[in-house]
Amino acid sequence: MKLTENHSDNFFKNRKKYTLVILFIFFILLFILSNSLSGYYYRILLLFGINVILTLSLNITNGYANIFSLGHGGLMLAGGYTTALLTLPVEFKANTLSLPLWLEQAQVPFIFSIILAGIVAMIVGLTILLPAFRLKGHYFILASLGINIIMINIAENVRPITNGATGLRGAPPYTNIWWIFGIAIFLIYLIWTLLTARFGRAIKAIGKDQGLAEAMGVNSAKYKAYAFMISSFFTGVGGALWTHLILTISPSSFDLLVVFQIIMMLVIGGVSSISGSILGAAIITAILEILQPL
Amino acid sequence: MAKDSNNKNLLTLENIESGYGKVKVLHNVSLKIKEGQIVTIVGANGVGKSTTIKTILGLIKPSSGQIKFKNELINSLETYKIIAKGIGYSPEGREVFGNLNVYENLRIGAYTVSKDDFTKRLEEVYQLFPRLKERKNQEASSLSGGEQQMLAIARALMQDPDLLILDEPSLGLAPIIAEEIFNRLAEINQMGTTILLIEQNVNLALHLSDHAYVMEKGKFVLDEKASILAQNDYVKKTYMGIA
Amino acid sequence: MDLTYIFQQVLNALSLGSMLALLAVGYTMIYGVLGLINFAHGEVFMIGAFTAMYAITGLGFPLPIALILAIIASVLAGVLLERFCYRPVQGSGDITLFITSLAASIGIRSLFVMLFGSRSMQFPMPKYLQGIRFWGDILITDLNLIIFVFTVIITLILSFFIKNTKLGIAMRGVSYNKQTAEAMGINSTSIIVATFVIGSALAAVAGVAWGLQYGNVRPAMGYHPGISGFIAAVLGGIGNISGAAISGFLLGVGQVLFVAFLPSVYSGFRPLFVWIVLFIILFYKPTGLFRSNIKWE
Ligand SMILES: Nc1ncnc2c1ncn2[C@@H]1O[C@H](COP(=O)(O)OP(=O)(O)O)[C@@H](O)[C@H]1O
Ligand SMILES: [Mg+2]
Repeated sequence: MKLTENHSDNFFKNRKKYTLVILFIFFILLFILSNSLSGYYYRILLLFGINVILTLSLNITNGYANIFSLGHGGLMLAGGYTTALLTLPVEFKANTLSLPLWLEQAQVPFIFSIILAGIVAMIVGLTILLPAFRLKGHYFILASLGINIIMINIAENVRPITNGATGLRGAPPYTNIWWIFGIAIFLIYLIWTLLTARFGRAIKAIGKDQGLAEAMGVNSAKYKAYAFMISSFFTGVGGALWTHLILTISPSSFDLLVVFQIIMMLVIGGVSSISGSILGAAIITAILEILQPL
Repeated sequence: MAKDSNNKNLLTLENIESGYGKVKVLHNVSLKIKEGQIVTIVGANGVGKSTTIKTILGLIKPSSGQIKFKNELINSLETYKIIAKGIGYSPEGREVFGNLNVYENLRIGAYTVSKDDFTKRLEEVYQLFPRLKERKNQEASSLSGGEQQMLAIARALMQDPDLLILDEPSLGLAPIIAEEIFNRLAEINQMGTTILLIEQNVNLALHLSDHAYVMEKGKFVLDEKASILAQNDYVKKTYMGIA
Repeated sequence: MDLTYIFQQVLNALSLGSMLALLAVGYTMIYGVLGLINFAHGEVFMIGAFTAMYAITGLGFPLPIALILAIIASVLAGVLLERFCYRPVQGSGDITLFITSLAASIGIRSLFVMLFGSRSMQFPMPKYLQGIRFWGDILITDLNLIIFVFTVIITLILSFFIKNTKLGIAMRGVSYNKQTAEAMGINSTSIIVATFVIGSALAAVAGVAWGLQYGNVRPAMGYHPGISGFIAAVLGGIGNISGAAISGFLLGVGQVLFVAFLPSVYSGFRPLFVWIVLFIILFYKPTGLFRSNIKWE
């Protein structure tokens, strides 16, 4: 028994070593890409990276935990507007919006603004969805669609903060290849770790058969809420990265169509798989680029 | 009992293999029902009795073998077409339409039948089950278990089928009610309807039937006149709890 | 805010309530037999409106003919959707059905944007519908009245049909348990097609009413009314025709009152009304307002 444990430990150490080597090579590759790709392809690479983050986030709920949500567009909006408000030039905020002074003056470093974007998205997700958790199946999906529509509506109508349908322009171009792929890799690592931990076993059990999981003593409400929180957080972060890449955000930036695209990324690559999410994000990002002129 | 000797075959299964997706449940199952007979399949839970029925009805398709009803191959037909050829079915667990009242359930049972025939048949069926007539406007979900079973049988009888298939009609019923239902089945058979019965209540079933099959693990292991099987030591010990 | 004002607002809301009722009834029937949120129902509604618009402005047909053409087009769209989108994925799980339905909805809408652009196009209203009448201080448009009466009649006929005919009983039977219905000799596929036919025809009527009431149509017009219709179906108890119709009316009237009683700066929040109602009601009654007619797991 002891022996096999040592053995697997060794194996794990080796795997860690390999992972580090692969990561190192990957970052060198990114470095080369960031210096060699033309503006157009570089941008596609960045969009792909953001889509990986969004798809992986959606995978946590819609894949592993089997909580089918159509509401992630609303969470991206929450993240995007949060980071925009925290980083837009003071002058723009003072002239166009009427914000409380602290928010108007706020010039938050990027790292904090994306974390706050994630937190706000998480809060939005929880506020709207916690009551919805007791709904079954299609009712829950319907309620989750409500997040999207409610957030879009708020963005359109709370003009002093969101500037209405025009949206916010001039977010600083902070997003770059390092931020995106750094966060993507962190997210992959996080999902990987979580999946092999108690949390992952619980969430997969709930995803397969919630009744059975509960009968085995898993507190499904708790784990589903955790899964939704993690997913919301990174979805908000994804929305923030997107905002600092496109540099504007408006109510229609993340509508049901965008959610649908991410669902397609998830489904095409194979639900409940990390590599599937990455592959799906790559395929759909490419297809969307090809279809762009249409 | 002259009826089991020279009559024509109504339903035959030949070397049926069937199951759910990749899971094979039935292995080389063959069965014969002659016109006018009552034939019973007995067997423990999960051996494939209901699967046999679902295969006959086309709810699942056999992967090999032949099913003939009135000398016609029905393997690949859709369920509703098979039913229209003259089969009435009372499913396991009754499966009445709980959102419909008794009358409406019977109307669905007569789906393949003309309006005139329906009205006529309705009276006949109400005569057989007077309780249903009393409750004709009551929602099926509000009936007692026994009443629901009667409704399920009545519904199966609505198109005046040549073959009536019943999957565990006594399941979960008090012995008195089970007996009443069995008496009704005898009457229905007297009036000329052939019956394929699945039962766990082996004692009652063998008493009623002409012929019986014993199923184990997706195969028929015994196939005999019911009166002979009722005396079989193995059957007595395993299925009737008589040492 | 006197009673006259409230009453006036309710009257103004009759047509919106009617449209949502018609959509909700179609939704509830299709959901009943398929177990599927047919997101593309809003697009079937839009197709009806576009067809009528084109029949009138492009082909010069009178409104009644345009309405019939709209019904034919929507029914065709509904039947094609069933045949080529939903039937192939039957039994492959909720999520697949969901994605299919979402894809159909987005696909049809995008197709119409490609063909007609995303802008609103005018929907002409014939002279004979432009009348208004006064009851004391209260004003009502003929159009509002006609749409309302028309909807009530359709709903009553449909309820009678569902309650009393063999086909109606079969529809309810298939909603309750498809496999057992098949085992009683019902061809569930043809029942499902019949349901799509009825639901789509109702959507077409709603679409034409929409065009008349608001004077324009556009490819995205089906999105919000479609979802409101589905919410009304949920609140009405899935499979419950009169429940859906009443909930549709209430949601329509509620939306208008919601706006009428708030200061006008908040009028943009109107689409939120249905969601607020949905969340509140589902929170207290997770199975809907009225009794559902199908077995709910
Ligand atoms: N819908 C189904 N899908 C997969 N397997 C099934 C299904 N229904 C029954 N089975 C399996 O087929 C076997 C036979 O079941 P069944 O025919 O219902 O048994 P019986 O009626 O003799 O109790 C059982 O092992 C059961 O688990
Ligand atoms: Mg069985």
